[in-house]
Amino acid sequence: MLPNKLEEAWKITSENSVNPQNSGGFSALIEIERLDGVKKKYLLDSGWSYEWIDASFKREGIDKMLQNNEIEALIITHEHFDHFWGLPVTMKYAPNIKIVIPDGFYKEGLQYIKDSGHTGELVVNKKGRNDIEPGLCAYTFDVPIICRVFGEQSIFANVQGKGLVSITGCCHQGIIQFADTARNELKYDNDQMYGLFGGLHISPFDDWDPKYDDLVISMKKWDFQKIGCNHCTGLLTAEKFVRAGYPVIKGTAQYRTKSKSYLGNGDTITFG
Amino acid sequence: METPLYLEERSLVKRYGGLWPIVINTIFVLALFYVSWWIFQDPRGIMRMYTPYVGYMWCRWLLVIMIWIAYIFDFWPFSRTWLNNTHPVIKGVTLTLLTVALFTIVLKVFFETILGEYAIAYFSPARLQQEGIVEFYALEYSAQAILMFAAIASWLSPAWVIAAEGAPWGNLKQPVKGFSIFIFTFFISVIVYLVAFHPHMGILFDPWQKFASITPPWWEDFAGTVHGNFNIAWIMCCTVIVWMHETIWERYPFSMIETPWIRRTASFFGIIAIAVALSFFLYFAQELIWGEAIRGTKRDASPDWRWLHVGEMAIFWLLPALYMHFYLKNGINRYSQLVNILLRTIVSVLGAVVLYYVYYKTSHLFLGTQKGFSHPQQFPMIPLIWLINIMLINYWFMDGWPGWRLAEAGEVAKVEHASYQKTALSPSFYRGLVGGTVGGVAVYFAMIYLLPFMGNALIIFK
Repeated sequence: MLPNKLEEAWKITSENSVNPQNSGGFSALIEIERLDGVKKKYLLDSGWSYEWIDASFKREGIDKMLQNNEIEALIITHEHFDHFWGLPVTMKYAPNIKIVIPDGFYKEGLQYIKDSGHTGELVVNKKGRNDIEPGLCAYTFDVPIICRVFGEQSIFANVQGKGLVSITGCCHQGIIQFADTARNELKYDNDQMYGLFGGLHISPFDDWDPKYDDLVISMKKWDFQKIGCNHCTGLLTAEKFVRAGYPVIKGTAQYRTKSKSYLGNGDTITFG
Repeated sequence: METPLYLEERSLVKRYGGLWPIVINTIFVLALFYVSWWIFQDPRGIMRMYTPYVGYMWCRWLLVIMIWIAYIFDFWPFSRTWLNNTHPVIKGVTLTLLTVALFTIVLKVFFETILGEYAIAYFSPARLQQEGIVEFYALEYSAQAILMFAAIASWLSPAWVIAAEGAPWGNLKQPVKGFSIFIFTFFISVIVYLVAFHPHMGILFDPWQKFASITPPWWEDFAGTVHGNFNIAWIMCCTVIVWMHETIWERYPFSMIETPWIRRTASFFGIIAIAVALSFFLYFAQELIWGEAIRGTKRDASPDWRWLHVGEMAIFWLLPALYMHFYLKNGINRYSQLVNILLRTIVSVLGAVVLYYVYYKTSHLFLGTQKGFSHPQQFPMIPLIWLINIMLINYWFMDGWPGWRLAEAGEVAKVEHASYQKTALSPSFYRGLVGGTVGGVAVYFAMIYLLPFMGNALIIFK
């Protein structure tokens, strides 16, 4: 049925799912402006539900950007369903796009990329730093993730005059380890951990554990200036961040996002 | 005169020659483990209790109840006649079902109803759900609290019988003796629970329950975490050291003390001292291999997991030691007591290293656990304690069937354990003591020097 009959494929998935309306997933457009003024776009992950992601891409104009080859690459952070299984939707608009995955995908995942209709270059990022362009790199972490997934990559961007912006899909490696890796291995402006964006995977179901309090307490010393958390961060975590005095950017609670406590669907954050 | 336990007075003989009993029982225990794991625990199996905390609670509590049956109540109300004349399989099934039934009562009546409905809400999943927590996490949170109680009880219950020799109730008859020790150790366990784990539960809910528990927990500054795993570390080490003391260490060196009250006191607190030292050493060892813990991070770099892993490593050590005691009759018996104990300790530690390597290399392939060292779905204490439970059922409840059987009346069991001359406090003993102390310190520093290299040499996940 893939890669061409997405509506039909998703109908079958929906009929066999408990709550198919919840399976939106994560996808974010990253737009950077180089020092020479040239702007570049990268798509981070491709969500889950074909129906939802396709509608979201159309709503935000991502479909046109893909069709016009305006997006340099699709960077898949990890092999989880909510970041990866919506891949056929991206392929629908840009089957030749470069796909960048972290090392550790299973053969079933690699087959899914083929089945989705991908005809472009496939890059497998090895453990550690993988440069994308000057001031922008991906970093692959060896990390065990639920549902037998292993390995996740995130992105670091150096913003001139500000500092380092860390961008994640789910950050299963942990935000502190993510930041600590940057501190040990990268150089960035003002020696400042400036911004943070993405899913931080702390309390995705608003469950709690005292080890998350360790995170909330220890985030202080990293002195982030702008935190745009969403997705698997968990509302409770965002609220605890706010109570701890951290600069969490609020969202607009649009397009089925439940709360304004953090960035949601269709929201934008700027670090420049 | 203290009445010997049934486990001390029974005599087991091999049913087959050579190594067959060991081979047969090993296969039997592993088969029973895997079948029961699949039925009850495996996330791909039937009951899927490895959530993980629900499954963890059950395996910890089954262990505690078995200790109550065998060590505190000495199998009361079952008579010696029944124990000696009933087929091991019937005994095993009966006593295992009794264990399950007793924990069901403890869980439903004591924790979920008496405590959960009338004292502390987090012991009751139903009450947590009423407060808005989804069913899965309501079960996980209450199971976490209940299993932490078991972690304490599985140290204190045997410690009072083994180290404190059941004093001052050691000479009483069952069930008075059993109930006395049970009530006392349960009472102490409640106090330790309130100090060691209630503050952990107090910050599990938002906002922190600052009027009901100490927030942040008292151990935050020196443990580097607010998580109760700090207490899991030393308490698990206490549990493990109690059994080392009872099995391959043959209660040495405290058995040398002749005055009962000094021996009992020294044993009880000595075990705690050894356990605390072990827990700090194992934490330090992780820093030498994986680098300094980073507070707030996830997985194997976080201090809360490092403390948990201290307990996990201790359990990796306990399993080969118990196997050596149950099925190899302590394995090494040909030398002096001290040398035997030293060699057994070394062999059991090596066994733990091998088990550790094999477990992390392969467990995700057949247990339904998560690949990697640190993950909520990678909880080696659960399968390891589950296996220990199966070994206890086999050895305590089934008299080692099918490889072993009870010696019949008049039959003299072949002595498979060593008997020693009493150690004299001679000048050579003191020279040995000094030499041992110096040697121990040297081994400590050698380990500190070697551990980083050993960690690099023994790569499990590339």
